[in-house]
Amino acid sequence: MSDVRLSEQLGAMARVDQLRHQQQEVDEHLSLPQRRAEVAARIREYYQSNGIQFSDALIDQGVREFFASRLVFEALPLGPFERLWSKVLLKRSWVIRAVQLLAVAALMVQCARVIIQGAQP
Amino acid sequence: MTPDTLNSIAERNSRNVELSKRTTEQELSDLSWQQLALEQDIFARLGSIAALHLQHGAAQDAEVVRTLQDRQHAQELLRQQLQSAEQAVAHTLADKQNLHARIDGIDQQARETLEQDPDYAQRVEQLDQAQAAHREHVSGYEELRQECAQKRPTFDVNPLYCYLRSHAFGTEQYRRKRINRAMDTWLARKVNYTANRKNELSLIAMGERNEAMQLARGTLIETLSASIDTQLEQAREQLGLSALLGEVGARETQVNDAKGRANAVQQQLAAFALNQDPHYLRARELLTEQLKTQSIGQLIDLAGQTPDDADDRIVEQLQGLHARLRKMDADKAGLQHDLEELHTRYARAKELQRKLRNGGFSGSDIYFDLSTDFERLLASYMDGDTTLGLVIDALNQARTIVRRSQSAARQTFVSASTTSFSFTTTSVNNSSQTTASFSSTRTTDNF
Repeated sequence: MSDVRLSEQLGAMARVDQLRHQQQEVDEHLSLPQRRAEVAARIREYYQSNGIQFSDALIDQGVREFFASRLVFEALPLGPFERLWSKVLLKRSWVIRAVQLLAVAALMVQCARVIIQGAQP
Repeated sequence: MTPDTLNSIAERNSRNVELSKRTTEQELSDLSWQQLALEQDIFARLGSIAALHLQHGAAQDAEVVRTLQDRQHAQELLRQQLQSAEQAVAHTLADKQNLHARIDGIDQQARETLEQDPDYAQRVEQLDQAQAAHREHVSGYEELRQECAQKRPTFDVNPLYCYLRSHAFGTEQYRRKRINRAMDTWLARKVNYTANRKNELSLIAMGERNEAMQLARGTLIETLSASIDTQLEQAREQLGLSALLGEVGARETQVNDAKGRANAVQQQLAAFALNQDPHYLRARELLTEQLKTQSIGQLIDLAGQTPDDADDRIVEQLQGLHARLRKMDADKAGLQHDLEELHTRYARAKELQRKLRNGGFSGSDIYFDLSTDFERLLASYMDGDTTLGLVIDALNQARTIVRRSQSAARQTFVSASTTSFSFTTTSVNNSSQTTASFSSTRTTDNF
């Protein structure tokens, strides 16, 4: 027991906590019907206590639509420049290779020019 | 309503139609036979009028009489054979029913013994709870499964997101440095990578966990059911059930053999009912030959023109007989029409029975919670007002999976889960109902 280093214990505990947190999150996602029912009940309770007219169907529809938007892929649309730049970044290895090729070509042209000028009397 | 009740209603319905069909067939056969006999009688009386010169003599007339008598004897013999075969079926079925009653007794005894065992009672309780949990979660399971199936492909569409994911961005495995890292960070910001990746991982974990939990629930039910069934089976074995099951199998074979014999005789009788037997055909041929030149009506008219007073009396009788013959023609047409309708109804009844047997409407865990009266629905279907598809839809909608309670199981003799033994016992119940109807309706299974 005394051989256990504090750093090891803390490191492992951090990992365990991480796993626990992940599991808790998954459990929450799994209890969808229950969560929907709880939220709907809370909304009904709120409306009733405030004397607001409501229909169960409407609440159910709203709650269902709200939970339908969970865990979806969401990304804002890109502008024209951002689209172009992102394409360049995706193909960056090709772009770098092309730039390198151009540089080598330019160097070779320059060298050739120097050699030709040196050879002239 | 249990599947057994449903099947027994459908079975009773087809048996009733079958009975009506057979009665009508018999009436039609009797009427045809009477008609033939009457024609022969008229012809014999015509022959006694001296002034009429019929083409064929008394020899042919006597042959017709003999043929009709032969027919009656042959039919009587076949009826006796059928009665004997049906008695054999009824006796064997009664024996089988007695055996089933003994099996039921053993089953009940086995259950009562086991209920004293706290371990068994606890396992039954656990199974009930597991099945209740399974029923409760089944809709949620399907919904989550659908959610994963719908949402997961949306994470494979965006090329920036897929690019970053393929380079394990944001994980310990990500190895890029400086400029590349800065470029990827810019891309990740644009595509909201961190939040989306978290959603995707949650979706994957949720799907896996959902499947695992469903599998665990199913496995638990299977394990508990198997354990309960094994214990029940052992208790039954100790009380000598296997020997009785062997006897039931032997009786089943005997019943099938007797039914086969009865069916064969019934097929032969059907030829008589349809007037397709050789005796009838021969008698009809002889009479047709005799009446080839003139019809009975014309012959009676001719006989009325003879001057003899004695002939007039015969003609008077003949006219009465001829009127009866015409009435028989009309009755026969009516019966034939009824028979056609009954054939259609019989085909509908059988189709429904087949559908119920093969369409997954059986099993000890199935219950039908019908909003409408099934008998009324059935009557509507038989009248042709409702299609088979609608009946099946109504049953599918009303079908629920439940585990019958121990007390109910004790009465209906079903196992804790659907095992081979459960199927055997289900057929036992059906057979016992068959027995009661069989002896009263004089019929055989033609399925």
